Amino acid sequence: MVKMFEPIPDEQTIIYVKSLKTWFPLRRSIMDAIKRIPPRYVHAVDGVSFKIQDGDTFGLAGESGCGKTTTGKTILRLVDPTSGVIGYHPRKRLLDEWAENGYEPPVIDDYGNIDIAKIPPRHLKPLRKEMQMIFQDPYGSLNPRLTIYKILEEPLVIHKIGSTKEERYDIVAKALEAVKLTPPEEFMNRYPHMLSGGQRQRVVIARALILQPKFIVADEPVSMLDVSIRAEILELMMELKNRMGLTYLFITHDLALARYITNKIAIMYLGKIVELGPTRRVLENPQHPYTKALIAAIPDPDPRNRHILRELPIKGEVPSAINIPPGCRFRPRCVVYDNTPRIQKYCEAIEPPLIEVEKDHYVSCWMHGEPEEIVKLLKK
Amino acid sequence: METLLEVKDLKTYFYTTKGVVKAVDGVSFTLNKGEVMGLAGESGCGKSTTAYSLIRLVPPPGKIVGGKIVFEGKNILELSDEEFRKKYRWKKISMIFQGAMNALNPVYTIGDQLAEVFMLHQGLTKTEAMSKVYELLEMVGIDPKRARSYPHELSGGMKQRVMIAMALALNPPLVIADEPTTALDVVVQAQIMNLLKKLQREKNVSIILITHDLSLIAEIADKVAIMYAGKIVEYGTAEQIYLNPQHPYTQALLRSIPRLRGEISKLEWIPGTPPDLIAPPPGCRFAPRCKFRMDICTKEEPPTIEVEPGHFVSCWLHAKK
Repeated sequence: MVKMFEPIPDEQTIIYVKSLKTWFPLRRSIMDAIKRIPPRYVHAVDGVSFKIQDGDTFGLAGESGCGKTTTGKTILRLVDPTSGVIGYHPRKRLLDEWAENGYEPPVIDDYGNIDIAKIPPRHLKPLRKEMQMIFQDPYGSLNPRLTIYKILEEPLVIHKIGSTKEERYDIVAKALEAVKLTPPEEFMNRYPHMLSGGQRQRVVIARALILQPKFIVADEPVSMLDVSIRAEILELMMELKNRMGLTYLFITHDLALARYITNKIAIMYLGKIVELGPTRRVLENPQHPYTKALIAAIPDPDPRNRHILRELPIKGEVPSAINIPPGCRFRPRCVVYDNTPRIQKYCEAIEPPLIEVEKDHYVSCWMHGEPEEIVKLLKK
Repeated sequence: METLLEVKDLKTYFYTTKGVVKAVDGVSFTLNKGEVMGLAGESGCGKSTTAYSLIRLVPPPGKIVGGKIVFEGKNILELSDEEFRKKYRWKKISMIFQGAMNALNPVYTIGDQLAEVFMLHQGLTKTEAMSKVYELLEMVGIDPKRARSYPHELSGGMKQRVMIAMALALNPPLVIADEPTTALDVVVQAQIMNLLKKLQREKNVSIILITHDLSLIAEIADKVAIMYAGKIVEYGTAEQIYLNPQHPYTQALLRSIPRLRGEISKLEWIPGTPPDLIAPPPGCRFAPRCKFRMDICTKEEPPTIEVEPGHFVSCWLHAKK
């Protein structure tokens, strides 16, 4: 019996996305219009489904350009989805605030989840108190002309939290203490350039958490920092997660790092998830040829490696996300395809769905399961 | 083995308006012919400045103020700029620059850029040079037809291959690779490292690989030097450094690397930040962040001790006073 992946929500589900697509249109010239060349798109996110449970640190991994950051930004509606569902379990305070503004969000299931993809832009503001983003680049994501105090006070002013200056000062001081920039008074009047990379990233974290959200998209939060201080920032993030009851979507290209902090992981390739499951199971027993290649490529600090060349079971380069290959999008780079004539006609024609290979571990590859049976299921 | 390069007490300072930044402050090491050395450290530790000193391209206000760089028996710091440029730079010592993605000229084809090396240094005509360019491109795994491409038409990995081709064009005995794979994805990074390894063996070229990534150094280096705040704190063979690290800094660095295999132990970090190189702390520069700090560490600079043959450590833990 083949089981295909479906993001079915339950009581513990914080967020789930279903067939999410975010396409960016390419600019058309007048000639294109005259020649009737159809509009073309960058298929940044091209049919992604997953589910994040309360308290998860859900890893989204892949190479640059695979759409992992766009997925994160789409969930926060920092970019708008082309199609698909983004189910989210709202807290009461969000619903109350919307009710005050006379807005009733679209409830889509029995658990009271709402579809973030359907919220009109003018009602997005209250949602920012629910979900926030930690950005990758601590050097670029803080306004160099504002003091740390101003940077942290800004969200409070925008969302009208803290009626007096003193109240806001207290909230900012507490936020700085929470990220261990102590004593807070010492940091408030500094400018970003006066801080080290690690300290700046703490400010970025404090800013994301100052509105007390419950869901955080962390986009490569430590990749710009020195290896020697990464663990410190990660531990801080984990401590805050436990203390504030947060759930993380952790975007990373570093599978070794993901192994330490995520409990579930999705591997993305060219806008789609190719493998999904509990982190340890996926990394210790990778099933998709792409995941296998990624893992084989990661260097580890073992001096014996220098005597051998690394075998990389992958060929070619990532194609452009404008012209996605038909069938399995990994096929042009796949060595399994080359060596397995039995499945080639499926690889060429039909996009493989995510199929369960062991408990909660899903892979999108025709190597797994009986292709005919899967095709029948797909037709249903 | 034949010694190719001997660096002795190299000092490179930057004379800024705020004070003198001692970016490289007494660095010494030797490199044999055909050997690969990894130079590792956090950002700002002076590893890139060391590289630029070796090829005499330290940007102002930086200046090499002391020490010797003996290359094939000759102190290259004594040569005039003109002589070094004509006889050494690129012919004897070449470099794969950091951020290679932007190091190529966007308005020339890669063929033209590679041909320039031969035309300037060997006085070849354009046609002669181009035939060499095709060979070079083939060597680094690029279809020679791509010689007519402009840099923007190539992927990041291919651009990096072009940079490697350029560095190896004149068959120099020493190549300095400054973070050759940053900004590349892991699969491409592994391909580039494979290529470097292969070419290193074929041509028996010496490489100094500069990176913050100790895992990457393990891929290729025979010797490893760990740099901290302008000084080399530990130096030895790859086995000595990875399997038997002796300096607290090296030990902490190795424990901070997340690993893909084995038990998941708690990742460690090094508290604090590297010192300001305008006014480094007295004594051992790592002392303020070191968990084994003793009284003497903050007072006197530690001597360099040979703890086993070829394995040097600058730490008071190993010095008997």
